[in-house]
This record gives sequence, C-alpha cells and structure tokens, in this order.
Amino acid sequence: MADITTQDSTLIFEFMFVDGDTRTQKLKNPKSNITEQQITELNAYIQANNLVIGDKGGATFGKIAKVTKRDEVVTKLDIN
Amino acid sequence: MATSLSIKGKTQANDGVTSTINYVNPNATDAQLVSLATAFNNLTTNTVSDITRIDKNSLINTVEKLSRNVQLFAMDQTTPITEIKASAIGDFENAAFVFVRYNSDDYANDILSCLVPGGTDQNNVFIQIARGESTDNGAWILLTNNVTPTSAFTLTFAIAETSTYQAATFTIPVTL
Repeated sequence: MADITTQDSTLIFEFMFVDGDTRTQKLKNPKSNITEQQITELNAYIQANNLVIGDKGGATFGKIAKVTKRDEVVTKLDIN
Repeated sequence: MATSLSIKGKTQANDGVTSTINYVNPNATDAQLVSLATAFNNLTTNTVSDITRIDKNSLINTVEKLSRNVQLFAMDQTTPITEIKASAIGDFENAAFVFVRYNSDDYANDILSCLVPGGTDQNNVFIQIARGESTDNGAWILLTNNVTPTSAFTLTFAIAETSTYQAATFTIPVTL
C-alpha cells in the first residue's frame, strides 16, 4: 500500500464582543480563494442583523476580529 | 443564552460535512438564519444546493457571571478599611462614612445592603445604612446608630446578583 495523504482545511473566526471577550468559530473545507471583501460583508451582515451574541450575559457582538485559514496535511505512512 | 446553527452539506468529494455556527442569536428569524448559513457556507467548498438541514440547538444553558471585587475604603477612597470603630458610629453628626468599591454593570441600581448579626439590633445598637451617590466605581455608605455598642460585632455588606455579576458579601469587624 502506498502512503495516504489527506488535507484538512479549517477557517477559524475570532468573534469579539463589546465586553472584550473573544470566542472562536470554525468552519471546515474553506475555499482557497476567500477574499477580504467576503469577510467584510459577512461582518457587516452579522452586525446589521444582530445575528451573533456572546454567551456572557448576552454580550453584544462587536466584530470579526481575526480570520485564520489553517491547512493541515496528514500523511499516513505505509509501513508494510 | 446563545444558540448554535448546524449546516449539513456535501463537499466536492461528495462526503457529508456538518458545519456548526455557535453564538447565534436565538431571536433571529428563520429567514435570517438561512441567510447566515448561506453566507458562511459560501466561504466553504460545501455545495450550497446540498444544505439539507438547519437545526437550532441550545448551546449555552448557563450564563457565566463575573465575580465581584469588593473593597472598603475611607472617605478619601484610597485608604483601605479593615475595621470600623464603634465610637465612629454615633449620632448623625458623628456617623461613619465609608466608601464601598466594587465592580458593577449598573452602580445606580445595584442592591447593596448592610446586615447586622441578629437583625437590626445588636447589643442595643440599631445600625442604619444610608446610601449616598453612586460613582463610577462604588457607593458611599453612611453608618449611624442610636446607642453606643457595648461589645464588638461584625457588619456584613451584601451586593445582589446582576445579569453580569455574581452576588457577593464581605464582612468587617466593628470594634469598641
């Protein structure tokens, strides 16, 4: 058997609330060509419609503070 | 209380994928949730047309409340107080002023009480607590009594729980 290689891609959002707390949100299988404009529009949409709230006393959503795309390549070695 | 949103779809490899969006406002309309799910899903390689299900799940059942930080200061709001002299609690002219500093989300409406062991009377001392103007970081407290105490006792200040902060009590000895 040959080595098996898999790739796991995750998009990690850092939500920041008005009390300064941050929470992370992860999405699997992000596109490779995500643009800053798309993130900006998503941030604006969430703010305009109050769709995200914090878990500490319902803290008001501030902004998407950071977005990180993490690619992890895993190779399972054929040792037989 | 926040809510989570689950999106089930398929990737280009045609395997099943579930994306979960946390901290969703439970008061959002279904139409808004669909739009939110679509907006997030458009950032993925999950096939949009294969969003098969959106579930509202209660994610957070308890609200973590912050703890209180309570301190007692003299009138200068700087000198910490570790005990109160009974002689300072006299009639109105000789009453004791203390400043209670504590963290809060609404100082003006925080419920602050002063408890005397055994009720309002302790060794024939009737302690009255008058709350002065609340400031950005605490409240003025005026302590008065009708009779000079004959033995030491302990005062307990209690601050009620709010939507953001836990309740708290702290005690201070009253010495002769």
